Amino acid sequence: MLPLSLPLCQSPHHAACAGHPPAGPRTRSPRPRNAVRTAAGTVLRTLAAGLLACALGLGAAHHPALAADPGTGAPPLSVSEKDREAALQPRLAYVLSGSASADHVSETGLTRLTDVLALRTSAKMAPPVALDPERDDPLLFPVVYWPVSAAIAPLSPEAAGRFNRYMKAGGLLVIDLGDGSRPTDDLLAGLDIPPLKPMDPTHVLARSFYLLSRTPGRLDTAVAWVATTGLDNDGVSPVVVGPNDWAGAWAVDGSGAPLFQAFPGGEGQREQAFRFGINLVMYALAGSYKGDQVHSEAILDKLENRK
Amino acid sequence: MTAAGSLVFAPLVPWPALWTLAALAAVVLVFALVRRARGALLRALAFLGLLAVLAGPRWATETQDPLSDVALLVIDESASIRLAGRAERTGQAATDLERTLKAQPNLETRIVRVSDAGAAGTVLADALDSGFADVPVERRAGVLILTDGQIHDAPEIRPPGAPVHVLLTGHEKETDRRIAVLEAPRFGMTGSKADVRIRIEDPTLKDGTPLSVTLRRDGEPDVPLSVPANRETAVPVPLTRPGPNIVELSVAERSGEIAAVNNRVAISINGVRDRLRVLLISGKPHMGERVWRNSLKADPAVDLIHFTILRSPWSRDPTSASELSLIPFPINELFEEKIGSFDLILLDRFSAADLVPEQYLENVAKAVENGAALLLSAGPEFNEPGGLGAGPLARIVPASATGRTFDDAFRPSLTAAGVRHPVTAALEPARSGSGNGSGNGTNPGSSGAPAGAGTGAAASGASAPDTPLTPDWGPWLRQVEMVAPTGTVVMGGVNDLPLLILSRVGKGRVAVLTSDTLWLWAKGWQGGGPQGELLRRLAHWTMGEPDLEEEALTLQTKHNRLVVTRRTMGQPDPVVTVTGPEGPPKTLVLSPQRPGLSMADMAVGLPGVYRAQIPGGPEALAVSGPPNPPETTHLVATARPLSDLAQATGGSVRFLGDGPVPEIRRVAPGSGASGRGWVGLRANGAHVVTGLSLDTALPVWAALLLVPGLAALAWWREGSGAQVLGRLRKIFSPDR
Repeated sequence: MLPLSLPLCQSPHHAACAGHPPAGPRTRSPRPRNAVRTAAGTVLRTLAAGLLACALGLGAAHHPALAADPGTGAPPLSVSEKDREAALQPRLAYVLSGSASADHVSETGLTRLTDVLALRTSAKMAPPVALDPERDDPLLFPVVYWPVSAAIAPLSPEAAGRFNRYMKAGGLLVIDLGDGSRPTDDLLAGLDIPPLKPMDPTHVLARSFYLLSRTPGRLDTAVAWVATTGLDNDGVSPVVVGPNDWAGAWAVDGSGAPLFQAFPGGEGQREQAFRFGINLVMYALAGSYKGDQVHSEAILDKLENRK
Repeated sequence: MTAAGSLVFAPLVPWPALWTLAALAAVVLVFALVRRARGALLRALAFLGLLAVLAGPRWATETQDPLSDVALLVIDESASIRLAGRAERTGQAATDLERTLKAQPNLETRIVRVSDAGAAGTVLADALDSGFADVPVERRAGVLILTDGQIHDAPEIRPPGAPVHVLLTGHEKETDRRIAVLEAPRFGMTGSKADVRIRIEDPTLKDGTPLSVTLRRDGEPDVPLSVPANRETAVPVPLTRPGPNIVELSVAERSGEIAAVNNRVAISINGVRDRLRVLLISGKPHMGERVWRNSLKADPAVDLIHFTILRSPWSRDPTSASELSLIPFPINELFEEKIGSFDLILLDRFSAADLVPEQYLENVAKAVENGAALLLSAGPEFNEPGGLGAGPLARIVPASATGRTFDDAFRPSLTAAGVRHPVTAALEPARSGSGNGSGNGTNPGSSGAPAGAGTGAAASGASAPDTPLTPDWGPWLRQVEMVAPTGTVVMGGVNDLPLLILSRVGKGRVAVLTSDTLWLWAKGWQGGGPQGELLRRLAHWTMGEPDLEEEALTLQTKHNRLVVTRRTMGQPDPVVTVTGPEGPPKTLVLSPQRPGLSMADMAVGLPGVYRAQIPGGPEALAVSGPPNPPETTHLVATARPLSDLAQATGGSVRFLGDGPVPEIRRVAPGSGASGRGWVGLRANGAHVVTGLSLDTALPVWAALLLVPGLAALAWWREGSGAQVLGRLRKIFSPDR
């Protein structure tokens, strides 16, 4: 799949670039008048959007294409059903690995986590969604869970680009290394993973709902790793990495019984795994809210009513 | 042309030979005198004559042209002259002086006219230096300065080496009333009062005589004050707004004073606002929450207090409190005790259901009516039980909820009012919004949107004044239907239903966003939109930021220009009148910049107070220069600044009053240069030599007669001549 920007702007000879005279020895011609440019841009953008949508096979899904407002420069809207639903109600997403059993664990695990969230917190989320990394855009999901150790092939550059954009725009990518037995360097290539450090108990993720010191899943190999710094996006780490098979602890069978035994801590460890899952979602939704609450209370204490 | 003679020598033999001869003659003479030889004296004369002939004396005659001296006439044409009504008198005196000077023989007159140098006042040093730059001191006759004496660089004037006469165009007994600003703070906390220390100077009044002073501020009623004369007084000035607070103080004009312009002073004090206290309550953790947080936390002017309802009262969790990182929602503290201390209350998808009793929401409504601001971001909970669509807040919400919610994509648009309104006017397109720049050139884009294409030219707004505009922004989803808006609808959504409504309630303001999907812009989804700028402006508008007021007239000085900016939601005003410290009001044409915004500008003249007024509309003040600009503060004619210079150069200082200009006399260097009714300019007598003639001083015939004659006489005296004389002596002295 071609990156969208390429056909539109990188070739100076392409029709879509008519509004931008190519740089180079040729002298820059005077800019066309706004109206002309806008109209031309609209036609070209509309054309390009249509062509691309067809070429990329995205138009095949649900497309409630609204007519463009008359007399404006805005192109008609085209919103996929998946995006629309994600925007209307938040939901967890997991990356399809290609392995049916692993995907099943992700699905049931996240479904159970969604239920526990609804029970214990005010975050009411829709059932989780599976993402095909080569087709779907994770942009609108608060948390994307990726059991990377189960993945069969590395991400294409386009897919990696979408994940990078997701992280940059404030998303939270949870990379589960499973039991850590499989090297994943090649699978993570192309992702802009910032420098990481183990989560310490003062980190906002460790107190975004529950107070946590460990981050267990089905296993409790090591504490999760988070970005060392993160000044963008309210200081929220764009990625959380760990080798504990979190979905394995959350996953249940049809009767609601756990699919796997949590090791070594048993049911206590599973409870901690759910708490970590809840903290992850709260961290993704409320950002560093719990980080500056002490500050907020200090300000509040000083306030006095207006006369 | 004059001539002058002098004796010069052109010896016939080289000087050493001449000196040798003279020495020999001297030796012979001494010998003769020692021997008491007769005729020694005559011989000496003969020697002298010979030497004189050899020395070749010449009578040199120079032909000279006398050089004219240069006088400088400096005419002060600065503002203080004009303001005190002396321009005519000065002009007349200048003409008279010019004529008198022109009539002087051997005198060149140079005229330098000095206007004021802005904030520096009237400066003369340069005028004197450049006027005399090419004139050597020996040719300078003197300087006449026609001025009111209000010179602001007197200590820097270098004495020109000739008398400086100061002719003051005024009376010695003039008096003036003025306001002197002794100390004015440049910054102050908005809402507090700043003390401006002034003194009203009026030499005709006894110290402490109460004078009525008017304090005037932009768009506020005048405040009368009583200030004692000639005493330092602190005037408290309320700072009501952030940004420049222009204050004008004026005292009544007294009859007989020189000018009224300095009976007014204007001061600009920058109002600094305390950090805005914003209470953000998120009704639940949701995707949009972090957008509000990011925007408010990034704003350095905001102190954010944020609460999120992380757990509802009916959540079931067996975990003990010690393992939870939760605090009880301080309902009473927030909604009762401290509600009045917030500048902005932002309810983000908040629902009161089972959480906040109605009486607390009533407190919010009251706080708004008392001056706070409320910003509502409505989601689906708005119409649910406990939602804010009903209940106490409904009375301050500027529209009615129908209970319907739309769940389809729509593109937010600007209404006709929104195109004008400062909160939404000219919002930049967000094609390069966050999340769109992946940095490595592979822009993945989203589902089918032509990311990166287009330049959003439509968003500039200039092409379609006063018609709704749908910029090329990314779409939103979900809108709570609200109808019958009572405020200004600046953004529209589905079916052009109100998306963003702004209104004023009592002393406060309310903004309602009828969608909870603004966050889609922040994600850069389908190109995203300018949510950061919109939220910043929205928050600052609710708190009365002057730059975001719908109706505004501002006057600013920028790079020596006076810039009038008029913003209005109504019909554009064609003109504005600007009144400066001097002269009649000027009418400027306001040129439209974009819908609702027009500007005009003009060059700044005198420093002082400028007032812009829309005919029949608002007015605005601006201050150019310091509170007491030198040129307009002191207007009484005074001898003081220049008297030292005049004295040091042997010149004089006098008030011309209504009398004639003094007579001009030429005086010899070193003699007195002024007197009653006259001023003296030095006559230097400098000249240039135009020719030289040499005439021999000892003609040949005289030399021939002199030298041999003396020699013969000496010989005669020495010998036979002596005998003859001896006989003669005997004849005439019979006693012997």
